[in-house]
Amino acid sequence: MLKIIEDSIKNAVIESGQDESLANALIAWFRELANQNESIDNLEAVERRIALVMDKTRVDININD
Amino acid sequence: MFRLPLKAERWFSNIKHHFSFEFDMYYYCVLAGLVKGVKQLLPSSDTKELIRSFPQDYRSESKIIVAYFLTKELEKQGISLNDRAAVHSLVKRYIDSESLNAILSEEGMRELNNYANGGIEVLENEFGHKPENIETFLLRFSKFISKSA
Amino acid sequence: MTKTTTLEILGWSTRGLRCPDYQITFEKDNENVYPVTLIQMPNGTGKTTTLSLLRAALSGEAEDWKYKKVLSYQKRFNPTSFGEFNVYLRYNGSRITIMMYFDFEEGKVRYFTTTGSDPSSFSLGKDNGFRPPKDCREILNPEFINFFVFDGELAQQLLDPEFSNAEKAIEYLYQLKYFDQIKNAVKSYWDRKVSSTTATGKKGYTQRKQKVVFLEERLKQLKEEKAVLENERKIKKQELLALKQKYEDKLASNAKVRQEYELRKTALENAIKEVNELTQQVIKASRSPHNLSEIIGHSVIELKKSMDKLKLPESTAKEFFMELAEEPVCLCGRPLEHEHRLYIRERATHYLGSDEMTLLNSIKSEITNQIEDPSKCSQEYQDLLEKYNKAIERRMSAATQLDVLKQDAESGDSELADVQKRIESLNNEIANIEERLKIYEDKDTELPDERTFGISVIEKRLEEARERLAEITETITIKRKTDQLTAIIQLALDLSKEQIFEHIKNEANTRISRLMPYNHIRISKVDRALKLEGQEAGSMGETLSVAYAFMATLYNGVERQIPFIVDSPANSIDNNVRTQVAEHIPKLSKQFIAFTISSERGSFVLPLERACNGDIQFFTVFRRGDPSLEELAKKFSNVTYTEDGILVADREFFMNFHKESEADE
Repeated sequence: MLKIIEDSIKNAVIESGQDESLANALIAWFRELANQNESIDNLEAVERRIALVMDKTRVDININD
Repeated sequence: MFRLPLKAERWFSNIKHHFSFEFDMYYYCVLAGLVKGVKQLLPSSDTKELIRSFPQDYRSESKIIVAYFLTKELEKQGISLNDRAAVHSLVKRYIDSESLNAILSEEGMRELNNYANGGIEVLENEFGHKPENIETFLLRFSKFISKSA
Repeated sequence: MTKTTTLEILGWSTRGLRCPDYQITFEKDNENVYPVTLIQMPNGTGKTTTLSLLRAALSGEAEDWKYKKVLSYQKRFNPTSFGEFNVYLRYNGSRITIMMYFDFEEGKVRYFTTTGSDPSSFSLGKDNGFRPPKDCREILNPEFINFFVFDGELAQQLLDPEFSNAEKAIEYLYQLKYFDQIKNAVKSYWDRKVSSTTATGKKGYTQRKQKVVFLEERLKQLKEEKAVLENERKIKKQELLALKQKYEDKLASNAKVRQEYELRKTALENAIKEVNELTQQVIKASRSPHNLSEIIGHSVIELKKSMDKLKLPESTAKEFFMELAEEPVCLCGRPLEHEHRLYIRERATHYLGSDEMTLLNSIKSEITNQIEDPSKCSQEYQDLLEKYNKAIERRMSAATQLDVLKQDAESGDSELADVQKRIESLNNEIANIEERLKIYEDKDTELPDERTFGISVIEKRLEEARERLAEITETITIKRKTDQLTAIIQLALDLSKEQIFEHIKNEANTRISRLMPYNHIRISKVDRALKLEGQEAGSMGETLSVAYAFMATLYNGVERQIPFIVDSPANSIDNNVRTQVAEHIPKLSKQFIAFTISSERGSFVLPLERACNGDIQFFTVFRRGDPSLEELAKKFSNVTYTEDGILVADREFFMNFHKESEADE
């Protein structure tokens, strides 16, 4: 079932026009939570993960739209 | 820290290129304030930092300037030169040996800066307009100090 | 691979409640429970009660029970004022005990939860509540509990969206909750960021952007203006230089005036040089205040004299007294007590330190050195000023003389006059440009941007405006990224659910087709509940088979192992289907607990026993009061007696038990 989840993340990322590296970052995060290697309550770890996925997310910053 | 009123920098703008140090402008303001006994407190946004201690070229003059400042402060506070305790107390407040070439304590320096702030007002009133050339300024300033002290 | 989490029921016990008192355990050894446990409780023994209690104990729902409901659990005969129902669990290797304490006088149920192996560590004086570990709470709650404790109507419950939530169960079992966790973490990040900025949103951005654009243009304009003026000045200075040279050359070409011109020009240059040198001398001399005024000199000397008279600085320094305060005995020989030391130390602060003494002495000696005679100092300065004045006059005179010469020369030479006019004009123009250039050096920060000309002031404002713009740009960027990420995560969740649900549905349908090859009933959709097609409301047996097939699919291969508890697991199913269902049971869960009735034994229990290689527990629970049964029980060894109940843990007894009561509880 993890394969289904990983594929879903990849497809969601592609459909949103984002780079594969974002999918990899999200999948890695999901995997670590599911394995209970990381907890969502570990704020430091969460900050690092968010910094990474934010960095991989591309947005258009033309504010006029 | 010696602080120059920003007004002074504008007032001396035509002639300041003749001075070796910005401290010269400060000194003239201080002397004008001291002879007239005029002090003024200004917000730090109206002044600018100059230097932490007297410049090298003022090494021997600095002690006379400080001595004159002490004299004027004693006079301003109505302290007799015979009142040992009061003189001693004032000297102890204003002098600080640890401040290297500054000589003055923080409190002493603050008061001297206030004389500079008052001094630029005195100069503006005395001269009417900012000096156009250095010769006129020096001559008029010397005359003013001589007659006002 | 994800870690496996396991919840097991180790047993339960009941006392003082309307079912017979008994205690039951499913532990095989210290590490394992029996994979299958069958409990036979004849009608009227409290099977329904036990299941209700089990559900309540595993969900905490009894905290909300009203008086009447609580009282309904009290024993009919010989009622006591309290009752207890304890469930013993193991979650990922750790033991948990949940105790429900029934207070029939108050009409309340209180929970106690302990972790560890000693349930006697409860303190009944303190109500610590329903507090299973955080991880368990996803399943030990009123909503989810119906998904693994079925009190008889398994199939109906699975099909009823009011009763069960298949969607939630799947989300839990297939760990889809982490999507929400990630999504919430991203949203919290945004909340934290936005709380620390001063402006958000498009309007704030537009204002800040406009400010930056304006300041950039203003700066550019001012710099261009300044550059134009500077260029103009440069050109005019070059022209001036050229004209001056032309003037010089023209004068020099005039034999009559050449020599005199050179003389007067040199005189002027020397006069200027002298004035400049004396300017520096006067500046230097004016730094000594006593030079400018004899009175200042005298007053400073008076200060020095008075300090001498007052013996300032004193000959003894503060350090001397501080050290004295440490001595056992004073200078005068008197012993120093604590209060004496305190006094000395306090008084010592009134003395100058040794460094301060040195400084004061150096001030005094400088006064002595520099101002030996105040009137002499002042006079010397006056003499310097006099000299200065005269030098200025000489310069003026030299300039005048040169001008006169020039005018004479010009009067006889129109071209020369024109050049001089042009030189004067250029000088004025250059002075004018320089005056105009001053505004670009202005430091005034009070005026608005459009009236501020000081380039450094505008540059600073621009820097600040850019910082503020960057701050809000970053905010908007983060908001957009947050929105994008949460949309992606939601989409991924939806796609995952869709595929997982589809997968489960297809697999379950495959099992159904094997269970019931001649039946067309199938699952059409998995939602909150199961939706069936082929036969809208199938027979009990059919829907039960569907339910088992679904549960088997659901539980098979997941990393979350939870027990599966059911009442009458095969009651309505055809015999041949029963056999097949029995074969599925061991795959459903690592722990299967069923309350069975006697009619289920033949076609269900035997195949079940085979399917799990005989690794089955058999229990029979019944009320005391039937002499024949009690007599029968005596023949067996694993029998537990309580005040009103008998528990027999024996397969033979289980298989031969026929007891049916007239009244249901």
